[in-house]
Amino acid sequence: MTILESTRDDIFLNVRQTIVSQFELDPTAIESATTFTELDIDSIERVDLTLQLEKQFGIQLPDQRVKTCQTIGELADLVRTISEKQAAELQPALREN
Amino acid sequence: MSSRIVITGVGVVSPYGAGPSLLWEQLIAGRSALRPLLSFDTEHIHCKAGGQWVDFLPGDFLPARLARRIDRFSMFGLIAAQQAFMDAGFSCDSLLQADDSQRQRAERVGVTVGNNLGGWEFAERELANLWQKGPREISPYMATAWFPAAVQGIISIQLGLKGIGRTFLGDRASGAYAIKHAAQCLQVHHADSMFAGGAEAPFSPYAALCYETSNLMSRQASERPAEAYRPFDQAHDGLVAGEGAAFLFMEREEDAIQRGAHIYAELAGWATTHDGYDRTQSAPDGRRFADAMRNAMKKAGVTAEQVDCVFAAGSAIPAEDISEAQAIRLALGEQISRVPVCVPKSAFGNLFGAATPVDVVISLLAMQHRTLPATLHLDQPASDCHLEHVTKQPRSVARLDVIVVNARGIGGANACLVLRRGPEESAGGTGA
Repeated sequence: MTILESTRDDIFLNVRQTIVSQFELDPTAIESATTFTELDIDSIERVDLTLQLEKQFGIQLPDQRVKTCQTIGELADLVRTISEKQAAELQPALREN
Repeated sequence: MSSRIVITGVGVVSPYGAGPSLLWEQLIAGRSALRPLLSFDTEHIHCKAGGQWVDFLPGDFLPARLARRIDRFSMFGLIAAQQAFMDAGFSCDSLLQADDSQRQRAERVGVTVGNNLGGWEFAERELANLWQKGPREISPYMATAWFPAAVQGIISIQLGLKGIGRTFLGDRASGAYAIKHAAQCLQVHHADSMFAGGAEAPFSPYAALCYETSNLMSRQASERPAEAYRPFDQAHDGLVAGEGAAFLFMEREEDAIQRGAHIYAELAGWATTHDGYDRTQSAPDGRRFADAMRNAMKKAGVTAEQVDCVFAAGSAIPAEDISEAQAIRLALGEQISRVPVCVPKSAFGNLFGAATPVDVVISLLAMQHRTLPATLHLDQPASDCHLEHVTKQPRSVARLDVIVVNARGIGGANACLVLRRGPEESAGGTGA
């Protein structure tokens, strides 16, 4: 499945799993509207999480946009947006090859 | 009249493992914790042995979420501070609750830390990432993990301390400075209780090299790793490092008695002096070191006749050993032939920033057991190092009420603490 075929839910579940394993949290405590503050994830841990997601999805998340994300759902949406944008940019190049 | 400052909790992480009991058992059994260093390539250094807790697993003590954010020296410091807090009769979360009275209490609890190197295991890993993979591969925790004050920070955060926080860098005397400052803060009522101690984790390629360049480390570690640290022995040739941490929980005597705490001992005296002699060498005459001992004894109201034992700094650097032996002679005068001298750290290495706090913990245990641990590897005293050394076997003594603990950093940064047995045990800790 390519990123363009992933559903919004797929990406949310993926981000949630990364958070669960990185911060030893209960997955049932994390919903789309759950905030980083509610999970006691501080600013440095958010940078750590961002770097992990970048590796996982093969993308680069703009720092300023990451900072505006208050909830897990917002971060998952940003991951999806950036991933789709990157995949769309790559598609013409792939067709040319 | 100033309040007496007492120690009501202790915690320690030593190369043997976690806890004061384990440390004491191993010392009394005469087991060396020194061994060849295998956790990193030691090709570039001469001192290829040390006191390393080789099977330490952070997950046995700390949540993985926390452990990945901090260096090994902070882990040791936090574990030792938690032990000290619990030993003093408190639960580790007793200052973390959010009600007003707890917040006010937390603002009156402080921490002082001795450290020398900082967290180089963490820093070296991240520097390798920087050069090999680029800046985005550096851990975001680097900024808060590597520096010497990281221990102070993590203890404050995890235990909820909101009072004084200070870190002292004075080589092997760092921990003594931290304990001295904590006692002063308590005497002038800048705090109601203080954590004081030190932490060190010196076993990574660059950290070990930092010590090597001082030219003060032992060179015989390759031939006899377990016996390389030989304070005052004729074959002494320098320091052997160890890793770990120790923390004391200290408070004013009246507060300790009021809450029914177990009092290990009074920290009765303290003093520091400097040789002002050389960047790395201590002054051969030992005069300023002797002054530190005399000043600490005077502050404690203790005469040489009342001193039951000296825990020497015992660096095993030949010139320092001779200088310290001379200092002990000057400070104790005619009592010199009576007072036993021991250097228990010869069994597990010099913990640098944590060296004195560990010595204090061992001193308190020695007082409890009325037993002096031996200076291992002291077979034949070097010339000018003849003292009433406790060698080979632990020594039971009828009286062990006053112990003088010496500390000395590079270039003659001298410190001395005097411990005096406190009132007999009261009912025991009452919790927070």
